[in-house]
Amino acid sequence: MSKIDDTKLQMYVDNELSYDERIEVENYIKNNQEARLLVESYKKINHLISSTYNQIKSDDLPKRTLNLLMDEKPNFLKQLMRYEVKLFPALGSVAALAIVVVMGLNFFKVENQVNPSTLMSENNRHVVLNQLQDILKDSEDNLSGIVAFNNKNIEYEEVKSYFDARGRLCKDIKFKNFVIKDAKINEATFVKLNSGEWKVTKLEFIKDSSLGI
Amino acid sequence: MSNLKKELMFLMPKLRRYCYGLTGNKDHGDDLLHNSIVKILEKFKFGFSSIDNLNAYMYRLISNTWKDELRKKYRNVEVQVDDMIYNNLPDLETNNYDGNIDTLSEIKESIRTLSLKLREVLILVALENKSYKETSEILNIPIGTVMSRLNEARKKLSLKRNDLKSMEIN
Repeated sequence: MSKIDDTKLQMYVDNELSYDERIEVENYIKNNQEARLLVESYKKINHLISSTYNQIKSDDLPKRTLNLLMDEKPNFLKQLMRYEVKLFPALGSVAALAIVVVMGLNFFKVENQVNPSTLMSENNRHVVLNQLQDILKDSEDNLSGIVAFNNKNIEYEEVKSYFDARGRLCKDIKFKNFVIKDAKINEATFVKLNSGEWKVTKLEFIKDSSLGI
Repeated sequence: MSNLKKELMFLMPKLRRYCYGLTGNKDHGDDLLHNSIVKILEKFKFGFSSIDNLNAYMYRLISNTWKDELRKKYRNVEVQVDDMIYNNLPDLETNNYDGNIDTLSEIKESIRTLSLKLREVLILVALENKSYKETSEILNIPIGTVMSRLNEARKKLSLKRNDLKSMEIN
């Protein structure tokens, strides 16, 4: 049996030991009160640190930093005023765009379907879903809580947990107050990948023009 | 949105938590996060292909940015900051603390009494769940140094024996 010192006890707490070494340490601390107290002390410190600093997760992300990461949109009117955009091609583009929009609206009317990816910008999707993926990573049991988004609090609650046909862990999460553009997101399905990361595979929503934000 | 910005957006909640842990203060943490992101965007303003491990790169950048900010702060009071005295460098808001840890505010207070070298290792391992190897790569120090700093940090934060006994009974 190798010598079990403070360093090894610390490695035990930080999951840096092999399976055999873990068993060895566990047997050792069973019969050694001083070592057991030290391990408990390290664990409690870890727990307190985690509880203290994880509180920031429920706060809104700082806006000025978020703005820094958003792409600047080109100001079309400003360019037009400076004659950087030729008038006729510009008008042509506007007309073409209008036709596409009208055709698009008709298409949605007939099919009554909206692609979820058009409901929120890529940035917003990243911010909200990544926070949820983070929460799933930290705790996988009976999830419920609040995620901040666009200065609003979105409540979320786990509806069910199951394995899909490929044996991957899936979770259906229900949302309250999750409104993007004119759609209300009710539910999302997350699947746990082999890498340990969670990905969104399905979004369920209701499209309602009266919700517009 | 560029690839770099997308990846930073994804990492932002974790990086923010690290900044908070490092500075011990939400406002300072947000400032540190902002300044670090400004730095990396400036560095790659003419294009970004990829960085091997952006996650580790950002943690390192944040640590270095915080050290720079502390150096600037202490330069104003004519204190020379080098490696020799760095271990004993007090933080911007350090208060004396007697070491009895039992609540969340107490742990925060006691972490602030640790030197930055000890604090960054403890935060990376205990809060960010980084392995010793990852921590050594982020901070560019040997694994042995990670372990000894971690040990020292925990010893300094160790609970009083009576607290532990009562915890065991409970």
